[in-house]
Amino acid sequence: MSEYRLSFGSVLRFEWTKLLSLRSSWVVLGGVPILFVGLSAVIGLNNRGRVDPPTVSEAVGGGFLAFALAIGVFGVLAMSGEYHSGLVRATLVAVPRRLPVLWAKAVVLVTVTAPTMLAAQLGSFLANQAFVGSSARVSLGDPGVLRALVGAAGATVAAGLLGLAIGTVVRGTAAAIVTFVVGLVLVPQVLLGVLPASVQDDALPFLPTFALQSLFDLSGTSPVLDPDAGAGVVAAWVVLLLAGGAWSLWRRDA
Amino acid sequence: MIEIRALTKRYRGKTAVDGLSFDVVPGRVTGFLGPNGSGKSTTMRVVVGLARATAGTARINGRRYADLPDPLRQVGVVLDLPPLQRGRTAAAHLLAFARSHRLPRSRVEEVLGVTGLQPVAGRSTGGFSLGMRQRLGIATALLGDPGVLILDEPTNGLDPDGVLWLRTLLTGLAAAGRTVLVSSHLMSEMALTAQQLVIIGRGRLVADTSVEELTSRAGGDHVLVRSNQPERLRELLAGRGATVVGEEPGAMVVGGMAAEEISSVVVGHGLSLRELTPRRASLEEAYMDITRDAVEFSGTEAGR
Repeated sequence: MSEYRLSFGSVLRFEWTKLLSLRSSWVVLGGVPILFVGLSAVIGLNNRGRVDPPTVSEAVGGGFLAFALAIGVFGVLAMSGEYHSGLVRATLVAVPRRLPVLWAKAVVLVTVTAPTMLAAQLGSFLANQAFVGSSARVSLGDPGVLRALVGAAGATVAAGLLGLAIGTVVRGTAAAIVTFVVGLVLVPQVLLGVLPASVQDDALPFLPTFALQSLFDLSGTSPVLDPDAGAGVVAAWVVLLLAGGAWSLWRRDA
Repeated sequence: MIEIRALTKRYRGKTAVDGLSFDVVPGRVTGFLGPNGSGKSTTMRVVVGLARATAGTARINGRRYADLPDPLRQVGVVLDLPPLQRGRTAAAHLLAFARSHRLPRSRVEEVLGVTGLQPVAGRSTGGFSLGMRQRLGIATALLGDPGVLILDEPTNGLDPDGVLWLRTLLTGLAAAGRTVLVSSHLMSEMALTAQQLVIIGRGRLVADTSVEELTSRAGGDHVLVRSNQPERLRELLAGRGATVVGEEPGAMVVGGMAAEEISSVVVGHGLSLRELTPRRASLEEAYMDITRDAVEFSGTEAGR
């Protein structure tokens, strides 16, 4: 019996089963794309009278922040939900090396959110274009559109990972969600108002929110990096926060 | 086999466990007793790696818990108030833990059967009563058919049927050669389930003893005897090595001799009895004596 060793593959199956056996996961994974597509259709409808074509980022990222927040909260709950219910103790008793739990949750989160967010982005783009006036139409084949769609989906997935990391460090659901929203929405707004313009252009693009936006904003307007640099900054934030989560999970008593 | 050596756990200057050492051996149920706040839960959390020891070691089957290659197949753990998340069924909860250790799906069915949860297997655990949660926690612990079981106050929330069921289950598991450590703050409960008792107070070991030893420490069993010829009977019993203490005219308390033996002495000498009442030594009292100094907040202190 003892020949079996706990492997990362089984920890993945463990986390996969836990996430998908929660009813709320299905509500989020099914509901967010539907909301996303619906909202984009409404935005398209409101822009019906518009003559000049929207920029790619407008066409793609209309409701981006709201959905980055939704998936971010989903990521937060993937960990804080276990602390809230106490399930985390049973989880860590099953996987006493602890860190595989965080890595497996990250892999599972990406696996379930990437295809749903990609479908949601594509669906919302098509819905938006179906309602927008013919003169303002952007086609899937237009330069940069596909890349922006993939970028927007990637940015939402990254927001989920940032949420997971924050949920691991902060543990309490309410506090973790507040931290996430403050970091993603409030801090950039405050800094936009407070920082002198000269510093803004240098500093703001490196904040998570603007870095995420740069993944689908191809207009080159400040305060946004180009997509490649933006992807690098996003990756750095994800790695940094997950490392913080890993340290917290490893060091602190559960 | 669980080996705890000089285990110490401090939280921000407060010492919860203080140099605790004891062994838990296979083949018997070991009751882990102590007043509330004496460090039982903390000790168990350190043993299964949920909390880090400040000093000392805890080993299971010769290894630190975190170094076990297949923890759920070696150790079953029920922590106080077993966890569950709303919106997940009992069967899915168990399936997730089974998958973490590549246990067959049939194990889920088996532990659902053992714990009597089959009828509610498909229900969301969010609406489970405390007793059902305990059963689900026990089912999770049994999934990997482990040789070591660690249960923190598992009778919390169980109804009398459930308590009896758990007692039978644990006694059976121990009899089959498993190592069973069960915590409780109730001596009355442990007296019926455990053969070995580890008693702690204020994080320190107070006693590590078998139930029989503790019984004799409590003064052993006595028999209350009333007879028509007390003087004669006293002589006869004392002559056979029993200790006899007069209680009131005509009545005596006999120690060191079983009721059957007293009865045969009486019959053998043509005496007659009016009363013969075995009195079990109260483990409860012995426990209270032992832990009196170790209770963190006595009634008067708590009334501050």
